[in-house]
Amino acid sequence: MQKLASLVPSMRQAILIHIIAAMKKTAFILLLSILAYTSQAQRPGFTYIKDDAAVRQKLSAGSKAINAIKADFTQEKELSMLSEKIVSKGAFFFKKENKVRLEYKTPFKYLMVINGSKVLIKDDTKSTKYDTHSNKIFKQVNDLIISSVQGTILNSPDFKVKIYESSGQYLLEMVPVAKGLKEFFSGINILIDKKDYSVSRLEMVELSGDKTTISFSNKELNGKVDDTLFSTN
Amino acid sequence: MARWTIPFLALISLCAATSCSSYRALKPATNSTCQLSDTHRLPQGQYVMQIDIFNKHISGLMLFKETPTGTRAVFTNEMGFKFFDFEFGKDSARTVFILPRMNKKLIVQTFQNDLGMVAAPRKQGGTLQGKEGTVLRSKLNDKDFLYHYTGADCNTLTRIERGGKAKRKVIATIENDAQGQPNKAIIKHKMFNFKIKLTKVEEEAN
Repeated sequence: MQKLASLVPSMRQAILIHIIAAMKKTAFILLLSILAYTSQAQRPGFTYIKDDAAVRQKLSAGSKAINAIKADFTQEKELSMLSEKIVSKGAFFFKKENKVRLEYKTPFKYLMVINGSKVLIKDDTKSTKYDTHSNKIFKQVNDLIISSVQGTILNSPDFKVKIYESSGQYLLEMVPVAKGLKEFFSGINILIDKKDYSVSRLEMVELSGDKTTISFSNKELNGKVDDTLFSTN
Repeated sequence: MARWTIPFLALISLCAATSCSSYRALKPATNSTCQLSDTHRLPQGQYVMQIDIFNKHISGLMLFKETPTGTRAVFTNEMGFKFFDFEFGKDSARTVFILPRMNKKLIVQTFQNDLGMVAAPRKQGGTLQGKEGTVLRSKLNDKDFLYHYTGADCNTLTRIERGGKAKRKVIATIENDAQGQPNKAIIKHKMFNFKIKLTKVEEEAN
C-alpha cells in the first residue's frame, strides 16, 4: 500500500512530462503551418480555380525566387467562446535553404529559430534546443517546412488544397488530411500576394473553432539577412 | 531498488526537513473582520505561464477572464494554439475544452487545482492568526484547505497554500504591483518537482 502511494507522484511526473513533450510538438507543428501555408476561405472577391495546374506552377516558381524574407507580423488569436482577442507582434526572418526566425516582441518575448534540423526555443527564462532527427513528428514538420520553402508544398499529401484568386492575391484553402495536423486544425488558409508570391496572411482554424491570424507587413524580399540571426547555440 | 526510489526518498526527506511544517501553530483569530475577497486572487488578464518539471520547460499564455458564470482560464502557446480552457466557480471546476492528448485525469486535476488556487473565486471560511499575520482558511474538498496569507492589513496577499489541517502540499508565492494588485504567482508542489510561474502581461495601449 505504501509502495502504491509512493508511486503516485512518479506516475504524475511521467504523465506531465509526456504532456509537456506533446505541447512542444504542437508548438512546432504550428510554426510549420505559418511557414508552409496561409489565407482565407470562401472570402468574397475570390474565385475558385478549378484547373489550377498553371497556378501551382506559378506559385512554385515564385517561391523558388524568394531567397530571403524580413517582415513584421501581427498575430491575433480569437477565442470562439469568449469575446476576447489576444494580440501579439514581432519580427519574422527567413533565409534559404532552411533557416527561419520567429521573434515575438510584444506583449511578451519569445523566440523560435529553425536552422536545418536544429531548433531553438527561447522565452525570458530558458532556452531549449532540439534536433528534428530525434523525433518523428519534428522530422515530418521539418520536411514540410523545407518543401514549402522549395515551392513543393502544394504537392504535399498532408493537405487537400483548393486555390482561389482575386485581382491581387491567391488564396490557398488547406484541409489537413495527415493524422498529426488533423488532430489540431480543421483548416489552414494562406493568402499570397500575386506581385511577389509572398505570404501576406495566415489563418489557422482549430477544431474548437478558435482562430489565429498572422498578418505580415513591411515585407522585404531578398534583402540582406544575417546568418547570425539563425544561430541555435 | 527502482530508479525512481532514491530521488523520491530524497524529496520526502527534504519535505520532512523543511517545508511540510504544520498549520497547528495557527490559532482562530478573534475580533477579525478580514474576509476573502477578489483582491486575494490574480485579477483577470493575460499572463505568461511557464511550466517546469525536472528538466522539461514549456511556456505559453494564460488568459483569466471573468464571465457571468465564473472565471475562465484559457491556456494557449505563444503562437495561439489552445491547449485547454477551464471554468472555475466558487466550489467547482469544469473543463470547457482540452486537447484530446492532454485529457488525462491527473493532468486535468493538477492544472485545475493549481490554477484554481490562484485565480478561482472562493467561499468564505475561517480566519486564523499566525506569526505572519492573518490567514484565511477555506475548505477545498474533504481532505484539503486553502490558506490565504493576507498580511496585517488583510489586503496584501503574499502566499496561498494548499494542504490538509497539518501539512502543506502546494505553495503559491504571490507578488504584487505598485498598486498592491497581485501580478505574479509561483506555484510549487512540495511532493514532486513541478512549478508553474504566472506573470501578468502589460497590455499595449492602442
